[in-house]
Amino acid sequence: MSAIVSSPKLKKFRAKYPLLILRPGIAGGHLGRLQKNPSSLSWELANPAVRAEVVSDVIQSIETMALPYFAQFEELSTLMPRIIEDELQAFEANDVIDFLMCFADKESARLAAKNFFSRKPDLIPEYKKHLAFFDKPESRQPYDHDHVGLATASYIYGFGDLVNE
Amino acid sequence: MLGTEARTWHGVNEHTNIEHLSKQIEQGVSKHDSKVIGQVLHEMHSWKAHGSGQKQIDVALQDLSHKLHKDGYLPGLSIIGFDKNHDKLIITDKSRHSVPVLDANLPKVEKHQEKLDTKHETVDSRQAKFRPKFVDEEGQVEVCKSVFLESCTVISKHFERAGFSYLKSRQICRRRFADFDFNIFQQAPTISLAHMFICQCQPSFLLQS
Repeated sequence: MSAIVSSPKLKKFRAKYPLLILRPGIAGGHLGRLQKNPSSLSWELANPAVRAEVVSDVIQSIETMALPYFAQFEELSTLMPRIIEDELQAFEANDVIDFLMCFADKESARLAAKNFFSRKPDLIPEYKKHLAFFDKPESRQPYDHDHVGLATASYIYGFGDLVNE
Repeated sequence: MLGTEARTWHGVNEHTNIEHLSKQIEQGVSKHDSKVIGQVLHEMHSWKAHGSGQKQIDVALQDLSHKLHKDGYLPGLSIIGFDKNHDKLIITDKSRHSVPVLDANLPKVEKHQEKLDTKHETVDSRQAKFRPKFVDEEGQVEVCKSVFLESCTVISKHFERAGFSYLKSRQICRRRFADFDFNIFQQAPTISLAHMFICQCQPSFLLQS
């Protein structure tokens, strides 16, 4: 069972940048990933004797995990500062940056990216390795995943090197 | 909440390593325990949530491929990844001419498998012997699929009250708020990926042509 937040507006925004993959997805994933301590969740519907009970548990889980997750996107004034400073489950770093560039501003997006590496300094070498690819036009390509995606963001949004200033 | 009676929780350990997962895979394969393999896939996927790199996951997938080959599963094919929502395994043959997707959703499996078969026949007809067939599973799968869709409908209807539109099939419900779409969907029917995986990988199925 998955809960996904997407936005046609973000998809349009991404279309302006050829190095971004054209997709509307923002955040979310399997229900278990939406929690602070990610876990996997599955339900077995095969047994007819308990199926109604299982379906009822699925509903309850959506109510307690998916709906509160969605609700955060209904209050952008609370969500924005939170994702600039810290992480939100199932919201990858590169998606956070695209989101902030689309719905907030460049300054906020850059700060969120810098804060990401302050929290996870062990990912800096890989970021720097990918950032170097953007020096040559022929090696530029859409890296679209988390900290590696931040190399793409640094280049296309003109952030510069986020970790060496 | 019903806890363990109605659902399966697989706790994620940040310190889970490949060695630990390999042992689990070995156990899962040797006992044909689909739950164990499913758990391994879930754990591997969760590494991303903890900031692990793709490289680590690739290594684990290679390890999974080797172990399965050793036990006679997926002959001639390699697991190269799984999709973002980890309900699909992406496999490829040695020629790298095709990248089919094994999905727990039967129609997709058939669709992708047709592609695989066509490619194989074009590229190398000798590999046709690896063609999986759902000889005995077909009827059972259809029953499970209808149960799955029926259950999705019950869930969908419930969330109409919460302002979500009722949708059919796997797309359970959707609600639009300002610039955002909130979607709840189920990608795999009652037959879990792992169960399907086991069914597909049984040598007896694979070798029927």
